Order: sequence, then structure tokens, then C-alpha cells
Amino acid sequence: MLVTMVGATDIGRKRKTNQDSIYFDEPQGLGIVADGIGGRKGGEIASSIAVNGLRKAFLNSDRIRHEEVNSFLVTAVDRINQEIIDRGNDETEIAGMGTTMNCVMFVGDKCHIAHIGDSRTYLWYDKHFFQLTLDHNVANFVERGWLPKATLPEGAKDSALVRAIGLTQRCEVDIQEMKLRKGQIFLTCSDGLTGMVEDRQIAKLITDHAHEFEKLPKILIDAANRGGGKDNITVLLSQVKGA
Amino acid sequence: MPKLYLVRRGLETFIGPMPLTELREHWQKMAFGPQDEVAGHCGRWVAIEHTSQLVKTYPDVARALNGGSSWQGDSGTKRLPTAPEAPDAARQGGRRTLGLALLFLTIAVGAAVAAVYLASGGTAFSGKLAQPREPAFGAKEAEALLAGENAEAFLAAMATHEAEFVARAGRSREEFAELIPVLRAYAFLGSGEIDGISPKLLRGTGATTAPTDCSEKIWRKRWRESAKQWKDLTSGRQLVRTHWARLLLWDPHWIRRRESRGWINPLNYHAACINTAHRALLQIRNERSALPGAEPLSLPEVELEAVQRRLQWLVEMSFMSEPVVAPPAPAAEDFLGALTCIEGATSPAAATECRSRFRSTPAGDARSLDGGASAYLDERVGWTLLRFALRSLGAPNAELSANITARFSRLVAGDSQTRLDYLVELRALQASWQLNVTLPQGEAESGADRHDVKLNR
Repeated sequence: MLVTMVGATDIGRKRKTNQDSIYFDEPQGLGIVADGIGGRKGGEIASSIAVNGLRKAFLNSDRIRHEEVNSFLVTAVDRINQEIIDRGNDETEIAGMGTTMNCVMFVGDKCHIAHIGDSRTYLWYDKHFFQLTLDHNVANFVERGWLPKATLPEGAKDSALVRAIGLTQRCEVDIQEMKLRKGQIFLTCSDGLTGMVEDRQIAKLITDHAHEFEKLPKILIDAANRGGGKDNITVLLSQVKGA
Repeated sequence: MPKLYLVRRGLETFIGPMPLTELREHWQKMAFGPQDEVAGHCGRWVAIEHTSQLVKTYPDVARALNGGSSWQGDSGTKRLPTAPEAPDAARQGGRRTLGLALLFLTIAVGAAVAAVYLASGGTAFSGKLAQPREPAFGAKEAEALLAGENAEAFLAAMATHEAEFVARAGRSREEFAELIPVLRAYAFLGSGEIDGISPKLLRGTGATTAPTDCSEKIWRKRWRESAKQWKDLTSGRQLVRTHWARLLLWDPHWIRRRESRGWINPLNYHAACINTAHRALLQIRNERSALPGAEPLSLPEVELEAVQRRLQWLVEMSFMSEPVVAPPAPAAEDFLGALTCIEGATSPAAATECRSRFRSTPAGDARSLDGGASAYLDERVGWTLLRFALRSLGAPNAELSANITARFSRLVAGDSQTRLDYLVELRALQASWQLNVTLPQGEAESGADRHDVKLNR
């Protein structure tokens, strides 16, 4: 399948630094978005380690087949997790840094999605819009019964992250796969977009501007900034063109 | 333009987006099940089994999936509630008339049957009509055969009733819950698969770190395809991250401690999986000599022995009350042997001695991507200490407590290679010994929810 990718990142209107990182390689079919955890020192470093670590692992590997994607992603994320922890141990001023990560990998006729944290991947298809990833936050884990409310510290916010890279020795990554169809658009983004723009509005913007695909990152980022731009905004779009 | 819906299966794969008609077709083919989720345009994900939420959020989906489905019963079993429809007075009036006609007809037929029965002195209808309506052989009867360790009778009975049980399991959640333990037992006494039940349903949700498909057929494929990599693992040169390698590293003590819901024999999916993996290896080993003229399958002999020994140990430990054969002392570069030795150790000192026998090859760098064989053996000594500690839950041991605290203070609650989760054990120790170990919130409970853990074993 032929996949076209466009992406961009923006500091937003409130933050002093951009702690998001993005990488995409259209010929290889790999796209990564990471969002350094806000309020922690070194979020920028953590997201950069995540994106570069996965990029290097991918480029250093032989051609990856379908059945090898999961083990590749799990191994690579484990390694990145350890790298971030080690770096934090070595440099006390950035100790405890972490990052979310969303990665789309197009292999053959499938899209593989690796996901940790609250950056998201959506699917747009035929004017319909679906959130594919589940935010790893307190609200979702409590709702699904994976996190008993009684164990939460007092004042824990619903949006607080339960999983992220670099926080604990054990880092679980969700891996999903979807069969590709011509016309699909995968949107991978940091919460700087989804926190500022409603899903329906994002869907409408994509529907209205699908014909000018290369302009979509700017259109979405502008919408987030119009909505307040409280966080860094990163947007990556992958359009399936066909065989 | 029709509305499209997307189905998410087990948080792993998707079907769609598709219109309602296609959604219904997939449902009828059991391509997804009640535990899976559906979402509409810009909508939230709702599990199919959460019927009230489904009706509220996606009433058209609830209507489409209601009736005619392989998952839903058609005679007295639970069905998805139908979304409210507009009242149709004319249709309702027609239904009432038809209902009355059917009632009269039923009464008339009943009276005729009673007359014939009385006239024959009670001997009429002694054939099929007089058979009890409940099936003579059900889940309870099957479980009784298993409990009586009458495997042959169980297999014979199940061979007769397999199709019926599979069909019933597909009708409703209740029947599925009742029959799946028996179907799993039947599957894993055999080849590890059953027509009409997907590998994922056979596995269940309590063993997500184990391979989805543990049938002998798949294991034969895994063993054949991995033969060239065996040496990497058996020598400890590289901790290969694939299903076959992870299975060889599974901790049999962990497996013995867990009784999973929906499993009766074996106690859980991990034990079942070990058994089929072992049988599959024996099969391909035998095939080499049994197929004259066929292209000989090349298996590395030394490594084959090591893998075979390891599997034998895992099977014995997982299924027997006590290990039949004590593990032999491992050679210096026998990584799997060292692992078996650690697991068979009868004291912390013996486990440490097993660990010290192993010398990693130069490529087995402890800081390598895969963690390194040496580092992993250290980790397994840690889990072994945990096992000894569990034996003395009521009587804290200061030395063991200090050792465990030192090892687990940086939060390693799951095995780095196999991902088996020791949170329940650590929590038990924490509660009993006041251990100074920080554990992640929540996950222990979800782990305990999937299994009943026997902490005294």
C-alpha cells in the first residue's frame, strides 16, 4: 500500500518550550509522535530519546515482517524506557522524566500502532472519525476496573497518566493493528490538539480539507491555537493512497 | 451515506469501518464477540455485552445485533435488549389476533395428545417425545468424569457431544461460561484446538502474556521455524523474544500457584500451553525418522536435547504434585539447565549455587538489549527467593526480607522476559512482613481478579 505522510509540531501559545517530538519517514512507512510529560524537567529530552530511539531501532533492523512487528516494538520500547531511566539516574536534574509515545508503522497491507500514554491515533474514513487508542489515564483505568478507586492517592486527577515511558522499570505498550483501505487517514497527535479541539471539529476539518492533504497539519494546529493553544501541538497524518 | 461503525477486538485488532448490514454479518459469523467493543463516528467505545450502554449510545447497533446471531440464544436465553421503536398500532393489533389463534390451536393439539396418551394406558409417546428435555450429558456430567480422572470416558463422551457443546457455548454468555471449562479441557487433552471456538476464546482473558494460539499445529510450526535460534537461548548467548523462547523461560512455580477462572483441567492456560508445546516437539522429533523419502528435518541435536529437557521439567512441574525427577546439575554454559536448577532448588543457598554455575558467553553482555542471560538468572534467583518467602508467610525471615527488599525496591513486579506478574505474591509478603517495596497501584488487583492464587505452594 502507498502511504503519504505529512506532519508538524508547534509550541502553542502558552508554553515556553516544545516538549513534543515528531519523526516520520514516508518511504519506510514509519511515523512517531511523543509528548514529554508536562511539569517534569526533561520532558523534552525524554520525548526526543523516545522518537530517536525508535527511529534508530527501526533503521538498524532488517526488513520487518508482520509477525515480527509486535516483538520489535515491545523490545524497542523496553530499550527506550531503560535509556530514559538510566539518563535520569545519571543526571539528577532530569530524574523522573517521562514521555508518551504513539507510533504508526505501515507494513504490507496493515497499519501497526504502538501506544503508551495519552497521545492518540485516530482513523478518518469516508467522513467518519474514530479514536483508535485508549488514553492510559486514571479515568479510563478506573472505568474499566483496571485501577480500583480505593488505591488512588487523594486528589488524583482523571487525566493523570497511568502509563508512560520512563516512569517505571516495567513499561507496557499497547499494540494494535488495522487492515489498510484506500482513502483511510490516520491522525496521530499529542494532547495539545485533542485538548483544544473537539473530535467532531477535527473530523470536520479533515473532511473539508482532505483534498488539500498537505495543508492539514497547519489547519489542525491553527485550530488548536485558536482554541487556546495551552500545550504543545503535534500532528502527523498518514493517508492510504492504494496499492 | 450509511453510518459506519468500527469494532475493536480485544484492544488489539479492528474490523471495519463498516455499515450496519456488514456489522451484523460479522456478528453472525462470530468474527467478534460480546466482550468486544463498537464505536460510531466520533463516539465512545462501548462493549457489546454492556447492553444498557449499547442501547443508549448506539441503539441502531443494538437492534442490528439483536436476534439471528450465533452469540445470542433463540430459546429462552438472554438477548440484547431492543432499542425502543415507534409504536405501530396496526401491527400490534395484528399480532394480538395471531396470538389468540395460536393459543386456541395449542389448546386443541394439547387436548388431542392427552386423549391419545390416556387411551393407550400411558404407553404412547415413549419414544423421542417422552425424552427429558434437559440434555442427558451436560457440563456437570463432563466435569464429573474429569474429576474422577476418567479421561477416556470424558474424551469419548465429549467426542459425541463436541458439536452440541460448541453450538450451545455460542448462544449466550451464560452457556459459554458454563461450557468453556469443559471445552478447554477437551481441547487441551487433544491437539489444543476445537472447531468453532477461536484460539483467543480458548485462551481467555486471564493469560494475555501467553501466545494466543497454543495448538499443537502452531507449536510444530514454531519449533520448526525457530530451530536455528535455539542455540542462542540454550547457551544464554541471547534472550530471544519470541513465544517459544518465552515459554521455555516460564516459571513453573508461578503456573502451579494459579487457578484461572474458566479452567478446570489443566488449572490454567499456561499449563495447557506447555503441554501442547511439549507434545508438538516430540511429534516433529519423531517425524524425522518416520517419513522415509521426505526431506529430513534438520534439528540441532544438542539444543534439541536441552529444549526437550526443559519442556519435560516444565510439564512435570506444572502437572504433577511434586517433580518426578530432580533437576541435574547444569553444565557451565547450559542456560536452560541453570534455570531449571534454580527452580528446583530447595533453599536460597542452593538457588544461588545454581546461578553461580552458569558462565555467560562473551556475547551475553548483561547490559545488552535483551537484558543478558546472567542478569536474567539473577532476576530469577530473586523470584525464587520470593517463593521461599511465601512458604513462611506467617513467620517473617529477616534475612530473606532484607534480600527481597533490596532486590525489589526499584519496582520490578513482573518478570522482565516472560512478563509473568508477581504482584499478588509481593503484596502478600508486603502485608505479612511489612516489606519496604513500592508496588504499582491497581495492577495487582487486576491480576488477582484473573486468577485464584495459592500462596502457600
